[in-house]
Amino acid sequence: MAADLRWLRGKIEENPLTAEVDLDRLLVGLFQSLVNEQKLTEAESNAPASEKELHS
Amino acid sequence: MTSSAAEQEKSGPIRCLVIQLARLGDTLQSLMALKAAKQLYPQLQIHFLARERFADAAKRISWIDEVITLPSDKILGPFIQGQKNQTEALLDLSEWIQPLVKEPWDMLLNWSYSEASSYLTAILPATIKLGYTRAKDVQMACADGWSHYMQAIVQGKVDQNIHLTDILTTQLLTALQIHAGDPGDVGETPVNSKGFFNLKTVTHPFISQWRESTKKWVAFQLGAGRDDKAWPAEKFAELAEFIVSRHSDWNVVLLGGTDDRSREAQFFETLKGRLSDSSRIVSLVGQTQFDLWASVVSKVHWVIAADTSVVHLASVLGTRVLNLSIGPVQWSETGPYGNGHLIIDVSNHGIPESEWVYAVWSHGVAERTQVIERDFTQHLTQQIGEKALHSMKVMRSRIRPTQDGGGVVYEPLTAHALELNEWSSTVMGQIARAWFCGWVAPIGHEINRDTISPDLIIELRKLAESSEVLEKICNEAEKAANELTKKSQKLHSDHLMSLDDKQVIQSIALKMQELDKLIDRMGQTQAPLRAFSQMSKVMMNNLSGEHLSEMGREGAICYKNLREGVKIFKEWVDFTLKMARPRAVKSGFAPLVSIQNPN
Repeated sequence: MAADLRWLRGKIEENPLTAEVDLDRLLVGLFQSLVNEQKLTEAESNAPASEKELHS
Repeated sequence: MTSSAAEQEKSGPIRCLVIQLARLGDTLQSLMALKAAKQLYPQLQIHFLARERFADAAKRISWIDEVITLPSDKILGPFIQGQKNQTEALLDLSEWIQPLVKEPWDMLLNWSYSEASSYLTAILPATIKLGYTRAKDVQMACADGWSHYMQAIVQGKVDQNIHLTDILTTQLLTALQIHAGDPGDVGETPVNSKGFFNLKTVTHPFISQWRESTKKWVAFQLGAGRDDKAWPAEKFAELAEFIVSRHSDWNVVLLGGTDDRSREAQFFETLKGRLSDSSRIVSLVGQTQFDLWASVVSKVHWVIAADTSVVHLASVLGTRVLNLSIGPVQWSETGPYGNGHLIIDVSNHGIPESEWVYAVWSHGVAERTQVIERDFTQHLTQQIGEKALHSMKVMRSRIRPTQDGGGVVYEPLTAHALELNEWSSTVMGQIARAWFCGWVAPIGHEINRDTISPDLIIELRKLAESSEVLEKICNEAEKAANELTKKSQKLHSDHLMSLDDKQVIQSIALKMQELDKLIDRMGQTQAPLRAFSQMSKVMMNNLSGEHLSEMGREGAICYKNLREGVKIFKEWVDFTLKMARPRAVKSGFAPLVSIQNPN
């Protein structure tokens, strides 16, 4: 993963506003919480999230 | 334009990224808040990030510079379905993030208030961040005071009455005022709904029929955000029958998504054989993509709906709403925004009957179209009887003048005794304004003497005592935190110190722990005080200082804020109790209220 994330990591490290962030942990945290939200939406509606209605 | 605003405009645009990963209702509330800010700070360059399926509303707004979408189905779907492993899916996610980190943002507003959005906020570079983010140790962190409030009070389910749109607006405007100076002078121009969306031209038989018709329309949105918040289709059908049979100039249009088809079927099944002219009810259920849906909502005179995004769409478009508050809904936070919307809340009485809804709607219609001969209570008593009237609360929305604090307020149209949670939510709203806006409402503002019941007085007497104790505890905690700051400032290191110094610091820390426990206990024993224990926890979790002295200083500020909040709370308790005391009246005049003194 490290090699393929080089551009993003470089960009984050070179910026003083984000230089100290732990990119790996944040990225995994973001991914897992998005997956959890997606599963929750599907469980609530008994339908894939993509089919959840605009109106709700 | 003030000189500071003129200077800011000259200095170039403020690049602002707004993260809104929640549903359409939240998206619409965010857009309302952004419109107010854009009007005051035209130099705001707004980039709006939303989930792909809820992005249409933002895409139809001309003053949004860019809409970025999160294709959650594309990125997460293959992983959830087992077609990709986590490493592969993470690469897709990081590829999506790359354009967002190319250039730092001047301002990043995380208005999703969710776990996922907090991680994204921490990854993206921005000079100013508002909302949830992550600290260096990846723990959840609040970037500003209003975020503390959102976490502790709004998401902590503490009663409060500031509408979410007002929280977002105030949060953004306060940050802009601090970082970009006072806004330009826009005179008395109100933020209004005209031309909010640039909708695509829609060709649909219903819209064509509309142009030729002089009839009036009321839209029913059949579903709700959740099943337990929905009003049954049978009730909607009964309401439609009342409207169509009693008002020859009114027609009904049904709205809903494809997953509301069964509700639509139930609606027409209930009406079978009961209407002489079925052409006066048109169904667009399952046919309304955003442009048609918004076109219809903007053209109808009324929208009747439970807690669902159409309430916010109608608010944005300036269409009157009759909102049926069913199930776990905080209408004071998410009700229709603007003047003259109505809310029916039946709280513990299940769901509103169709006759009740009809009675409220018909009064709302009469209010606008003719001189009202009866007031609201008389109208409802005649239509549904006194017993039914006492089973529901009806509120009407009003935008407060700026000098009264601004924002939307819901005023009761039906007389009922003020419950403790309603009283404390009003007070909490005022404390929040004092904490984050530096504006304090006159004590007792928006509390009506006639609504103070003996039960409320008993509860407030208990609170008078405990709030006094809580104020003292916060005062002690503030002193202890100041002592910690003073002591630790004299140390050369937080780790290497004399045994005496260590003992003193340990004893201060122990005292602070005990005081924290006491604050927590006060919140557990009396529900209205939970606001302070929740705020205390959230603020303490967000201390960012690395040294003891910094943490002591930050802690002292937190306790000071709490103490000031409790002081305002206590002033309201005392004022309400004083207000409820029987008044001396001139002989020959009947007293306005008959409140029994519990003593």
